[in-house]
Amino acid sequence: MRRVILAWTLVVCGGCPDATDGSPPLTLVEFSEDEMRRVLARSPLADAPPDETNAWDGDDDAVALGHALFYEPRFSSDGAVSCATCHRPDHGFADDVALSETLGQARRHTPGLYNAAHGRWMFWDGRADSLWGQALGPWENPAEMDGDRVSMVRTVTGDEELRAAYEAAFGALPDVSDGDRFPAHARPSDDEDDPLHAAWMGMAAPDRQTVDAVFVRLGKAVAAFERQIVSTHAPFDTFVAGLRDDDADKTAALSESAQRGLKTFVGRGNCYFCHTGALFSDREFHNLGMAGGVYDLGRFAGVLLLVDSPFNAAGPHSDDPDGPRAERLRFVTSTLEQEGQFKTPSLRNVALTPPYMHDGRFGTLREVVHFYSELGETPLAGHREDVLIPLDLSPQDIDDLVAFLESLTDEQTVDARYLVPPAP
Amino acid sequence: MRTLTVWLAWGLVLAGCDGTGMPEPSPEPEGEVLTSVCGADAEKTATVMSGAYTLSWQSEPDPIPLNEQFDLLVDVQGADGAAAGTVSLDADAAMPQHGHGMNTLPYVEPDEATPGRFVVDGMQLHMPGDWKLYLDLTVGDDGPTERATFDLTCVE
Repeated sequence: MRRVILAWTLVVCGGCPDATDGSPPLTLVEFSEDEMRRVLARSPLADAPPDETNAWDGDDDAVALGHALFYEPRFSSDGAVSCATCHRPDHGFADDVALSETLGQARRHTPGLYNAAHGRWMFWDGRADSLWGQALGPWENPAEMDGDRVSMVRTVTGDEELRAAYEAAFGALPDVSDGDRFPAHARPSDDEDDPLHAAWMGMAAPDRQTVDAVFVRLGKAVAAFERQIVSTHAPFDTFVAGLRDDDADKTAALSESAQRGLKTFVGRGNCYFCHTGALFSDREFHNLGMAGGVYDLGRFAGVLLLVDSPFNAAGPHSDDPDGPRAERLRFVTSTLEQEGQFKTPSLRNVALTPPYMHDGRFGTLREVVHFYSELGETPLAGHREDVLIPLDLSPQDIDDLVAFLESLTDEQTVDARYLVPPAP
Repeated sequence: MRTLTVWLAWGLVLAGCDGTGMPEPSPEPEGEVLTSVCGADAEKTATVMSGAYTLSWQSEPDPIPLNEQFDLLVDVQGADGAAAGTVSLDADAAMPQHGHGMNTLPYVEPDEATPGRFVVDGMQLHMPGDWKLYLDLTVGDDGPTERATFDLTCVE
């Protein structure tokens, strides 16, 4: 504690050279008291909280299965699309195009997965409240992988390696070999004209439950894997460690430009209002007042989908249906205020994941910062957060903010073996 | 109180920078330094209806954590200091400067074990900055209703 206070003393008096020993100053710009408090609140990033709704969260066997499933293309209707197709490991586990095109075109930009286990809500609109609940969606979405849960279970049971990996984590797989009871392809759908929906509804209820139980466990395995995708040691973290340790060698991890950008971020830029804490996200929803694009209700509709989902934290497939995540569901609300709101993304590794925003409209961080500088648009949906006012940033200010955002890049923390499919 | 300790310490640190490059020695604060809380110094009691009723609240946990769900225990007393009888309560919070409220819809229920007490479940102040806590007291089945407003500042 003493060291922190010493560091703060020097930083607050950043304009005062340390005359006592001639050592270099800790920071190259001065931070106010409030700014410094916000800087320190942003590192280090603690471990993600456990997900009690997933009894296999942290289970090594589930991680191994999830690793394989993440890169498994046979779950898609054309056998060519996997989670990794859009959540590209070489692109911060995001896609490099605005809207992913696989079996169809996605409605929203594919977000990155670094530190996703910290999330309170999943998807841009928060229509899932766990990583496993999220993982189930793209597998069957006709615009994404267009798969179906019955064929997925058949694929796992019919593949020696996947079967062994599944049974190591979850125990024996059910027998789904009876084609009269388990058709080759079947899934529930909102589109009642979907033949796969008709096939699903033609199955006996106990057989549907059998398939659902395996389907959900596949999602929980992917969630266990995604928890391994972490980023915690960016240059910014070294900078903050230097503040705490009174170590100018560490604070030198941020250039003067990045330090100026950080000062704007935690100060007059007001970025800290939503990009809070060490995750650089409040994990909640805001309307930035984006113009143009496709009309999108965002969180307003996301809440309705979440509450109705059988795969939410309070549902029959949750391993903690009365726990804190389920409790949170009691209080979600869908009001007009939430129209056009989207989840605040984490900014860790943000430089790895262009393009940006929920629809991928901005190709560079510079464009994003410029948007906040101008804000000269009329929102298409809902109303913009009133706290957002044009920042009127100079070109140097924009350069500085971009330099700071780039200082949040860390590709080393994640285990390199997770960046590629598991070895056969 | 812990947050207040930090602010006092900061004030001393700032005051110690005299421009000569030699800051005064800083007192070492006690307890946790980095906390993100709301309403640490807020008023927690107000009267409504010309003093006929007094509302006082306490958060659980205390202090209110930023961007986490919390409950309120609200006690309503009549002018004589006794627990209020036929009254009901609504609770809400908003950031007027931001033009929005909470992302949660809290529930209010009377505490059957404690006359005049209400339990507000599911509050969440998700952003740093200035919030208003609104407690609306209604007398009888049809009113009147009057609002007590409390200022809560969330600090990250």
